[in-house]
Amino acid sequence: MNGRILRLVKSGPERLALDSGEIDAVLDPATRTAHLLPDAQRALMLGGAQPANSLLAALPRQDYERMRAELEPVNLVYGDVLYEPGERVRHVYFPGDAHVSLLTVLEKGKALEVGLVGREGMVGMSLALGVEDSPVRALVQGSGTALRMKAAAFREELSRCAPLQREMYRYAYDKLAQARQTAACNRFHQVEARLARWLLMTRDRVRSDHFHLTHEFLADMLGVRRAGVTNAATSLQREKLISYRRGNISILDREGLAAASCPCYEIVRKLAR
Amino acid sequence: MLKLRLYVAGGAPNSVRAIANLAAICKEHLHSAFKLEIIDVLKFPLRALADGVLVTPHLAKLSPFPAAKVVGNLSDRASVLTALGISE
Repeated sequence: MNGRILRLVKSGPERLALDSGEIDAVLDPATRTAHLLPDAQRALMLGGAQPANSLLAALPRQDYERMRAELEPVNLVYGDVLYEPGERVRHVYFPGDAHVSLLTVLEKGKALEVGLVGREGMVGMSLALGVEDSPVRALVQGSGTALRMKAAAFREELSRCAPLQREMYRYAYDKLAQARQTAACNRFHQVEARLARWLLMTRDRVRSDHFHLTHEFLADMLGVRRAGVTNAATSLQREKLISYRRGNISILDREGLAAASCPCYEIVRKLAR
Repeated sequence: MLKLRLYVAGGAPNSVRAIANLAAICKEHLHSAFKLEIIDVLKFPLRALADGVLVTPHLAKLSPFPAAKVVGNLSDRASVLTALGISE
């Protein structure tokens, strides 16, 4: 909102209402548009009554309303790194339609995905468990919106808000169960079944049958070479379960893909609400 | 018949409040003896500009004569009633 817009409202009842915070928008005859005031814009971006993120949506209304003052809407862009391993967690993120991959980084740049966070979760869980540094790399894998909160504000909120604590513990348990399952899955299940599972998990988080993932990314996700991804993807394509062209993935047959996936998909899905 | 027009900015907080406040006043004082049109200036800015609206929320009383307006979230009930020509 620039000063020129506010100067359009010089006097009269309009000015009085503006000064007492009762105005949402100012109409600008020069550009023939309505300009939202910052508070109104913020409220509209936060999605009004119901937050897109399930953890926030599960909180009692008055707790969420209080937290809103500290929640800042941000756009996360594919490829952004929110934290590196060992780095201080400065913000926690509650994704809306963005999704973020958590990777454990080994020697020589090798990385393996150990978690996927979308609207059902939060990035920066270590903070909820009292650890200030991130154990993982948090990499934005699907561009979109999120709400973020400064670490100090989050800690303060967590210390006084029992419903938030409950959500965090429940979510931490889900993630732990998911990690246990994934550890066994990575060791024993075939790449094709794991790829199927992983595509289904992504689908659930982005709530769409179409998304973009590069080969390299998938190789990191599954902890295999690129050739391994190519073989697995080709095989799923041959069965007409997915189409995969230049990183653009479409799920053509969800039921079929679930059947091709290892049972870990259903097990983890039932753990999470 | 009282004819009213309320200009709002989508679902922004003051706009939502203005609609709720006006609805309560209409229910209590006007029963069904009024016509209300709500215009979203985010969708129809030209319409609002043509009507001389500068900020939202903005409530315009179109008829009966005299015309009147109230700006803000309409939480000041007395001034809304006065503008609408309703005595409590």
